[in-house]
This record gives sequence, C-alpha cells and structure tokens, in this order.
Amino acid sequence: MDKIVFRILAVVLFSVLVFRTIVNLGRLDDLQLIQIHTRRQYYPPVVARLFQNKLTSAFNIARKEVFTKVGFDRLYD
Amino acid sequence: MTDKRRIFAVVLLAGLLRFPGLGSTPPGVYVDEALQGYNAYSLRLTGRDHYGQAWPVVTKLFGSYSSSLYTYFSVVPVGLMGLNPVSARISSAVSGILLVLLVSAALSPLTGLIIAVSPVFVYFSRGAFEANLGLLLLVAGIFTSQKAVRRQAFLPWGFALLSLSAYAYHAERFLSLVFLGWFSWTARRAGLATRSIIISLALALIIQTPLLWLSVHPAVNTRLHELVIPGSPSQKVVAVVKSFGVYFSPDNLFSRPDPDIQRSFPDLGVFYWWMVIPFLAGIWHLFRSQPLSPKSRLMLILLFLSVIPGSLTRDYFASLRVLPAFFSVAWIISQGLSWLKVRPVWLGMFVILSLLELYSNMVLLQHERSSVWNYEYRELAGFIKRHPDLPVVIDSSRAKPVYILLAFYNRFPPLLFQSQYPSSWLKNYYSHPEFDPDIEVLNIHIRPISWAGDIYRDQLLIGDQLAISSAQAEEHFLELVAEFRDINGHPALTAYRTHPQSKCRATQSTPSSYCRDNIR
Repeated sequence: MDKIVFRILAVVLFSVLVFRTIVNLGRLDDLQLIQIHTRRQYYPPVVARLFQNKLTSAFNIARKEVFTKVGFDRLYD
Repeated sequence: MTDKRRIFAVVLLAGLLRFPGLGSTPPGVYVDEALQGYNAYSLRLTGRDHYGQAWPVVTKLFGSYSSSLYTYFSVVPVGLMGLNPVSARISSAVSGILLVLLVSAALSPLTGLIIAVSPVFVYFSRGAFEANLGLLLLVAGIFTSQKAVRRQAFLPWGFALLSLSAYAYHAERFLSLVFLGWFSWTARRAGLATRSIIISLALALIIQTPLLWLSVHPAVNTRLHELVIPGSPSQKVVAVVKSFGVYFSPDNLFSRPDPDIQRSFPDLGVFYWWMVIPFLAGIWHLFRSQPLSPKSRLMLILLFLSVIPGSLTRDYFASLRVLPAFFSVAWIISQGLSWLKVRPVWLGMFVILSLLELYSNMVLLQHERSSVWNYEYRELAGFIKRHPDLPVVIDSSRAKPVYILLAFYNRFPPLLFQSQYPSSWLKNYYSHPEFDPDIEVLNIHIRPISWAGDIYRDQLLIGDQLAISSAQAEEHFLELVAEFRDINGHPALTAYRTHPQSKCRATQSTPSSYCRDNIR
C-alpha cells in the first residue's frame, strides 16, 4: 500500500515536469535561445543538438520551478 | 549477476567518471589545489612546505590553516608524475573510487552505484578536495569500528582511521571525536573487553594529540572564526536552525547547484532530480521499520551530525563542508530504491539519463567555469617563463593568490619562498594566519598596479580586463604584447609592455620625478 503512494508521487512529479516543460517550450525568451546557441558550440557538432536544445532547456527550467516550490527557502522569508 | 560482478561493474563505472580528463575537467587549477600540489612538491624536495615548516600538522593556507593529510597523500603522485593537475588531483580521485568500492562491499552495490554516479561525489573526486579524502577515512573508520562489535580486533583499526580522518578535513575534527565516543559506548554495551576499548582509545588519542594540541591555538581556528555566523546569541541560534534546514531542502539536494560556482556543476544539484522519490521512500521505510537497525541508526546519526559543521558557518548550503551527510543521503536513496523494488530496466534507464546529464555538465564545466579554475594562468605562467629578464607586475587588485599558480606551473624551487621566512617566523608557524597577497619572487611582483610609478619603468604590466583599459594603454604608451584567453578564446588577462621614454617625452612640460631620476 505504502509503495503505491510513492509510485503515485513519482507519476505526479513526472507529469508536472512534463506539463511544465511543454508550457516552458513555448515561452523560451531570446536570452534562453541565445544561451542554447552559445552552449551548442561547446559540444562536438554531432552531439551538440542532443544536449542543448529547446526541450532540455525547457525541462531544466521546469525542474527548477518545481523544486523551488518544494524548497525550504520560502519558510525562512 | 553475482555481487562480486556488480561491485566490479560499479567500481569500473566510478573509475570511468573520475579518471578520464582528470587534468582538464575542471580546466586549469584552483589556488587551493595549486597550494596542495606545490606543498607536496616542496615536501618531496626539501621535507618542508613552501613556507619552510617541516612536516606541518596543519598547513598555512593563505589567510588561514588547512588540513595537511591530503598534501602528504599527494607527495608520492607528485614524485611519480611530476607537479601537474593530474598528480595534484589523483589522491582525491582514488579516494572517490575507494569509497565506492568500500560502500559497495560493506553496504550494497546499489549504494555504491548511487555514490558512483551522483554529481556531488563525482565533482569532488575530480578536484584536489581534501574533504573527499576525509570522507573516505571517516567512512572506513565508521565501518571498521562497527565491525568491531563482532570482531574485537577491528576496534583499534577503526579508531585509528577515525582519528586519521581528523587530519584530512576540518569537519572530521568534530565528527571523528563524536564517533570515537559513540563507538566506545557501543563497544562497551556489546560486551567488548574494557582493555581493548582503552587500548583503542589510547591509540586514537595518540594519533590526535598533535591536532588537539593545535586546536587550542587560536590562529589555527582562524577559518572557523571567519566563517562563524555574526550577531547576538539568539540571532545565531535562529540562523543555525535555518541553515540546518537548508541542507535538507529538496531544492538544494536534487535541483539547484551549490551557490559556490567553484564547487558545483553548472546545471546539476547534489543529486539527480529523480532521486527525490527514492529518497522520500527511503526515509518513510526507515521510520516505519522500528526499531531501527544499528546500521540505520548509525546512518541517521551521521546524517544529522555531519550537517552541524556546515550549519554553524555563514555560507548558504556549503556542500563541501557536509559531504558525509550526502553519503547518508545516498544510502537512504538506495534504501528507497530497494524497498520500492525498482525494476533494473527502470533503474538502468535513469542511470543512463543521469550519465548523459553528467556528460553535458562536464562539458559546460569546462567552458563556463574555466576562469573560475584559473585556466588562463597556465598560459601566463608559460609566458613569464619565456621572459625571465624583464620585471613583471601582475595586478592583484581582484586576483586570487596567483603566486601559487605560477609556482605550480613553473615549478619554482621551494627555496625561493622558504628563504623569505626566517627561523624566528617559523618558530611561531601556527600563529601566523595573516597573509599578504603582495609578493615578490624572481622578476615577478604581484601587487596592485601603481599608475604613478609603474609606467615609468621598463617592465610588463599584466592584469585582467578591468586592470588596464585601452584608454589607459594609449595614454601611458603601453604596448599590448600578449593576451591570455579563457578556454572559449575570450581574453581574460592582458600583458602590456611599458615605454617609459615615450611617456617621459610626452610629459616634458610636467615631467614626473621618475623621468628625472630614471630616464634623463
């Protein structure tokens, strides 16, 4: 029974991350696009697009958003 | 797959994440690493650190003192491979791999896997971080002492390792004492011979005596005083409680990098984001399975105790200072994974995703943090080596103690520095935390540029992008002779040659005293 709770929690986390990633995909600003472009130059050309693209950027933003919401910092404000 | 094969695979993975590109990722050398490496070099050649102190208990580190065991562990690699970034870092990398081996064998290969791939352990294994050696010795000491409950002969070894860990990192000075007390108590309760406990404690005390003696020296604790939280006692208590909680924040553990950019990957937290679920499951499982097993109790004690040294300091989430706590977190994550019975295919998929993220961040680390790791100073050191006859002024207004980087890369004879410190100074080696960043060695003067005088001497002026503007260069007849670029090719440091005669000719109407004295 307990394990199901954590499996549901995992599904919820994954779903929220996917949802926020999709939302952020359409909201990437110029600065973020420039960052993707700049960072691509650091990788070997064949794999640059794999590691630096709109999806990975949107996911990273989503990850930061979600974890900031559950962070303890707000308790101390 | 048998356990031995699993352990081998996990250790192999740990090695693959720690050894390749050890000298180039992180790029350059940080000043603390250069100091560790150069002191090891100096000890090997002269039996003294670069200040001239013979086999110091703690090493003078710019404005404070640092633990010295890492330096001693680096003497052999520096002797075998020469003084370079790899020889300075290899003791940390080996410590990281041995930790994975030890944990895989003593706890489980799954815990070993979590430690092998987690960003925090990979990162600190790839730099000359003495805390990584401290963690290995502390964990080895804890496991050996724990084993002594069944085999008494292990107790002195466990206590010796715990005591030794105190020489590796400041946080272990506190943790080792607490665990010595804890294991003495548990050994007594387990019915071990009093004689064996007393002998083990005596051995631990003998090992720790020099450090304990020095610990009452105020100067040795300078770093602690620097970092202590300011304010009234009540403000301090509130700040410590807040700081304690920060180390358990999911945000800091699973998403946000350490705020100190020299101590983290650009886009990775201490652990991977997906590990939050097994972490929560692990905590739930631990508290549900009452009474706690001795191992679980030990891990929770380690977790909470290890956070204390970090939370007593003013820095927000200093991951390096609480490294043993992350070891416990890794164990909790592995407990959660075991309890949830995560299928190997899912675990494999998450590990592969994590490795891709890790690779990506290693590339970003190289390109976005090269100046933090003083990448450009390697080229500068080479340039200075090629110009031994011309005086060089390196602007120190914003720079870190760069003399140690030049000494590291150019392998200056340690006597150059040792000769600057008389025996009277060395007699009170442990009472000199003060540090003057303005240093003269050979033809190199490291100090802020004096615009009133430096432009009237034939020499090289070197500084970062803020030190010398193009307008200043034009006004003072400075000739750009070299640019030292970061890894992406952006200028980071510039070297200008002065032309005092041209400058004096241009200021004939209001000649400087330097022109009168030196030129005409």
